Amino acid sequence: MILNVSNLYKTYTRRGEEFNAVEDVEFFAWSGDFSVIYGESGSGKSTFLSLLSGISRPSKGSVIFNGADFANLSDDAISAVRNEKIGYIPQEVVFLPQFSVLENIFLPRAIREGNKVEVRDISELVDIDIHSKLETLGIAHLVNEMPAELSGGELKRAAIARALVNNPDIVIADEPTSNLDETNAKIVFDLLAELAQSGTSVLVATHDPRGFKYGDRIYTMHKGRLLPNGESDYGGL
Amino acid sequence: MNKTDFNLIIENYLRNPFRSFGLSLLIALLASVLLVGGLLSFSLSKGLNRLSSRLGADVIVIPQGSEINDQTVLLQGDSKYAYLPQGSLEFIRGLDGIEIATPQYFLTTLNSSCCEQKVMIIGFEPASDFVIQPWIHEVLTDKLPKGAIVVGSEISVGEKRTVRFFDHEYPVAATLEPVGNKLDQAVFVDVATLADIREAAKAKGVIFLHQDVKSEGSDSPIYSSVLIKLRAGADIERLSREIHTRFDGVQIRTRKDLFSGLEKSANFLQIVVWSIVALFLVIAVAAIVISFSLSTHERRREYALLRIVGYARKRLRTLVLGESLLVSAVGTYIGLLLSSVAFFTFKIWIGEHVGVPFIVPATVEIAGVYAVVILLLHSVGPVAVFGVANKVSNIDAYAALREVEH
Repeated sequence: MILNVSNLYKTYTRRGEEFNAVEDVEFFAWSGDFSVIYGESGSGKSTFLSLLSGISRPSKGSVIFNGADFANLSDDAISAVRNEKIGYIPQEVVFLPQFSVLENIFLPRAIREGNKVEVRDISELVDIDIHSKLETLGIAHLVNEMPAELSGGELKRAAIARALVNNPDIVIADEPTSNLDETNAKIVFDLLAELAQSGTSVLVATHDPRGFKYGDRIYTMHKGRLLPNGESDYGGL
Repeated sequence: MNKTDFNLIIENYLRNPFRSFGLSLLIALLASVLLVGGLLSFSLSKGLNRLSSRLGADVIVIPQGSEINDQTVLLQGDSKYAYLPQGSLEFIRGLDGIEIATPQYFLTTLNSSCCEQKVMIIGFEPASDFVIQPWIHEVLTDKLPKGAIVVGSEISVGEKRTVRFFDHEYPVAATLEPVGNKLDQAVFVDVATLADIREAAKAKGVIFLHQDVKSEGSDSPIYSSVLIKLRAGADIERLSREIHTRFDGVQIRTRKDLFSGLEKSANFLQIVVWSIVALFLVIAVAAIVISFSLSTHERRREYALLRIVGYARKRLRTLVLGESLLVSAVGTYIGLLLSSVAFFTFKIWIGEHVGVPFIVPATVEIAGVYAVVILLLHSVGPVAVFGVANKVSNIDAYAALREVEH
């Protein structure tokens, strides 16, 4: 088991009143899993994924990654885990504007190896298994451009490539197909499915129904609660 | 800090060159005023200390109407237009409270082989002198050879170590340590050598600003000044009254009066210099804090991204501190380079115009000033943005990512 989440809560205060963005969530993920979490905007999907990736700290409960409880790890250790083991694809597309697309994709690897971020050419990355993924994602010809020169969809695919550059144990993707047309959405889901088949655990939060068919396990998130498909009062899928 | 951090810091610095370089220029200005202020302050302190240590006389008696130069008066008279009345030295020596009184003779040449400007020749009486000779003994342990002269630090003596006056070569026995005023451009001789120079001048038909050290029709020498060392407990007021009662046309200055004036001038100058430094420091710190607060706020989503791809909080702090250090370092070295060129190019001009004793510090002391300036200014940026860096390190990456992009 890669991920073991139990009794997870994330509580915020809004206008003086507390509310649970994530409430009493139990979740497990194994190598080769492809889990899909469905939920509308504001249901708590992104908050949940931020807790799984260690970006946010839970108010209550535990996230155990590869046997290590995040609660017992320092920020340095969690950051290292996130860098090396977790490929997190945020819903929002953010790039460092002073670096090329290739350098942005290379960024997690540079951090991992303590190397400079600058990469003159993709040929310098011969030891990194990223070329085929860039080809698959259809952005291999764009890697030397600057982020400002790419469309939203192209940047989204570049962000996916960036999450994969360290060959993570788990890919956590938050709305990975937003901004993508049907063709590219299919390419992305196919790529994630391929990763799952090769042993990587994949967890996708989406409200794109095209992704459901890829999931081994489908969940619905509603008002912070995560329910296996079919158990949701909200209606499930 | 590893290569990744360093690379990100450099790129962040270059990304907005106008902002980064603007801040660096501000630091450069601060470095300049700090370096020049430090060197100036050091030079003034050193000049005052050197002068203080060489102020052998408690009182100087000079002719009325003499040009008084506070920096030199206790070591020499500057009586261009008058001499002390005849018999004044003998009278002063006979007063109560006088431990020793020594005359000085002061001649001015219009030029010489050594100097483009006029050279002051200060004659002293070896038997009674207690002012010039101790100073000479700092650099010349032996007795001053007959016919030899001692020159101030700014007198060029060439390889032959001679100075030529009126077609006569005078061997230079020693060059004095700088004192930071016009005495550095003076020549010191005993009375016998002074008489030789006078004779040589006469033979060439050269007329000194002072005609002679003896008044016409009299064998009694006249002096440019009389320097007095008092016995402990001597009453300067009474002494002054007695001299004034006996002679007209003299003025009496005490060491305390003159030196306190110098100290006031030097202190005022230092206050001005350090006030300017403080002003620049406040402006630089404020500019850095405001600029970094704005730029880090603009880059919140980028910091969030770095968190997502594995940057620990303390590394985010390192990035911000590193960038501020780079801003400081670039500015410091630019400022030091420019101000060093300016200071050392114009040090003589500065020394002549500050109005107080000014001695450029020794190499080791200068290196010390540089080290302090470098250390201090390298810390300005990081100290100023420490709060901003902490704020960045505590960023809520999840919330920052979800902020609407500006």
